[in-house]
Amino acid sequence: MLYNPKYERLTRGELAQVQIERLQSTLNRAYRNVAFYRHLFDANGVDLEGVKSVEALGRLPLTTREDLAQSYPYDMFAVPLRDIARIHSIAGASSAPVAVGYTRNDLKHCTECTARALTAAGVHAGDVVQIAFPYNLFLGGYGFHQGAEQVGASVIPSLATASVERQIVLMRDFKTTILICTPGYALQLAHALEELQVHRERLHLRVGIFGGEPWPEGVRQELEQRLGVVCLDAYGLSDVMGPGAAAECGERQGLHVNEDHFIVEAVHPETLCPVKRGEAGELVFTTIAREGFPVIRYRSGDIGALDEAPCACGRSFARIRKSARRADDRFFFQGVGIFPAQIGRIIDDVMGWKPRRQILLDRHEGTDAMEVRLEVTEGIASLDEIRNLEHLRERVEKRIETVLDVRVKACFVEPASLADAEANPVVDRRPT
Amino acid sequence: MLRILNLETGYGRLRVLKGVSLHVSSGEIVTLIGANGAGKSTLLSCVAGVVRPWAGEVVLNGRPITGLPPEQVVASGCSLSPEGRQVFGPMTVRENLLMGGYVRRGERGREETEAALEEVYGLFEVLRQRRDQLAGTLSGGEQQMLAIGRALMARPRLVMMDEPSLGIAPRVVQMIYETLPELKRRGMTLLLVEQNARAALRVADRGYVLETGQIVCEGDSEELLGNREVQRAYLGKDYRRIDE
Repeated sequence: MLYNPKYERLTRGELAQVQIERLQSTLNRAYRNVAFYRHLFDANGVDLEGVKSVEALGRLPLTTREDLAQSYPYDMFAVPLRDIARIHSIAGASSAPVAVGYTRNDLKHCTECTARALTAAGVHAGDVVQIAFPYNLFLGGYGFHQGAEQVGASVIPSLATASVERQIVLMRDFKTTILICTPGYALQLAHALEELQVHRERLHLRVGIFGGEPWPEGVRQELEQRLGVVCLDAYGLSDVMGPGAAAECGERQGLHVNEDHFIVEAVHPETLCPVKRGEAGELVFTTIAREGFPVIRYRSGDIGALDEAPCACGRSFARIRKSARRADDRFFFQGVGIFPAQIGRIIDDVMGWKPRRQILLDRHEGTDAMEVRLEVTEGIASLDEIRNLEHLRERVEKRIETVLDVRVKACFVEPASLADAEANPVVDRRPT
Repeated sequence: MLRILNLETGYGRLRVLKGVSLHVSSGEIVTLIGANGAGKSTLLSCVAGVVRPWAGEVVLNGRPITGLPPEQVVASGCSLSPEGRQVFGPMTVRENLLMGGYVRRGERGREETEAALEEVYGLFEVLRQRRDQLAGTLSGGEQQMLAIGRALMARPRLVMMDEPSLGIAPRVVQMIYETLPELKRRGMTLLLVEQNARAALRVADRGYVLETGQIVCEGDSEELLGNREVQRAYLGKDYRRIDE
């Protein structure tokens, strides 16, 4: 089933025409309305009229997450604030957060893209869709919610903050057929089901659509086996476009990119040159249907290869074959992408000095856990100092929770015990 | 049906179109809206072969027609109803219409021309009533119908209309606009250029916004009607009140 066959089945030639039209109109609008892009293009001597094909896009400068953060609050908006229907925001790579504005049409497009993703996963009007994503400043939950309503399904916005036990009660009592959450959360649910001895035969789950963080093939197999459902991957860039940028169809041979909304390129993460066709590279996205917040050649940090070969499902959109690797040092924790530097800055701010630090990631009973280890410089002399350190430790934990919306444990360790911290700032012991 | 890629043209040293790309799929009504002087009419003239393109390509039904003379463009299935009607005043309505079908020749051509004439009369009853009247004595609205009818005489698959609502009483504009979906039902594809954006977007499937020779916005008509920039620039401030 295709949600919008008119677009999802365009021939590659027709698609190229749609893409170049939308790209040119996006570039013209971005240059006219977005100060950041006007400066960027002028400073780099970019001749926008010279962009006569989608391939020519590769000559334009890239946009980074840092650029978005520096444009906070609304220097990246292409329309006046009163035209913005909704704002979503995430923590930036450095100090400032990133705020993304959506016009009504943008939200409609987001709905369309997630509706396509859900249809590709086999979701239809008879389904009960349980969305255990966060519904907050991050678009993930809302995006899938809108799409699920659009395809006519019954939606349970069960949120990721509800306890797993409640999730399971809802799932059982309302005969949930589709589960949408992060793969990490799905593992937690799988674990809880086994703990509570709820047999999967008593549930009606059919498909799991998981996204928000990269997950290797091994996790898919584990989830399929433990939950007894078909598991499909969905990809979105919470930073700039929310969910629905790309999603797997039943063939499970990569994620179809909604190419009438996004142009995706793969570039070498260091040279930033396009990689050879079919090779893996850092995925770079350009929005071509966005009104409120167009981004041009945005570096996602995600690594993947692009495959334009026809797919048995009939969609002509290219597929991303994702890799769990990242082009940068961002890691994913409970579905939130975090840069070690974000945590580092909080530590430095709170402590007032720069203790050596190391982040430990673990998974206990399906739940991700993070420990931030901080090295004290010398032996602790007095009780006062201990009290002081305890106070600092709590403030670090609180501050990380406030800024990044994740709960972590902070602790102090002996001097010189983090000798390998520079080489390994993040130790990920979660099973893959 | 029609595919335009990076079209550039102008007059003398004045560059009017600065690389325009758009397409019209078979059976669609697509509108090109924009302010006076944005280059809308120039684009239609360029496709129709009246103005020579400087660069870019125009493809009609898979066949390049870039820079072909007007009669060949008409022969390949694309007619233009020009801005300001431009009917032949001293000729009768019927003679004007026959001019539109002149690319057809021979015995079979005559039969087809008669059939086309009948179709046009079926679409605009008033033209039948006034078929022997001089075109110059028609009202503005009737002249507009005549201009459209004349374009239809070649039985084109793609009809391009330049400002069909220009200088015409609102009631007649509505009448003309009601015939557009009928043309679509008859299997025709329309590219409609308008300053009257609201009227155009109501009948069109999709639209493009042209500003100083560049496309700055495109999308489904519904989306463009909901786009606040478009509302402010082309639909008038108290858009909602007028609309109801």
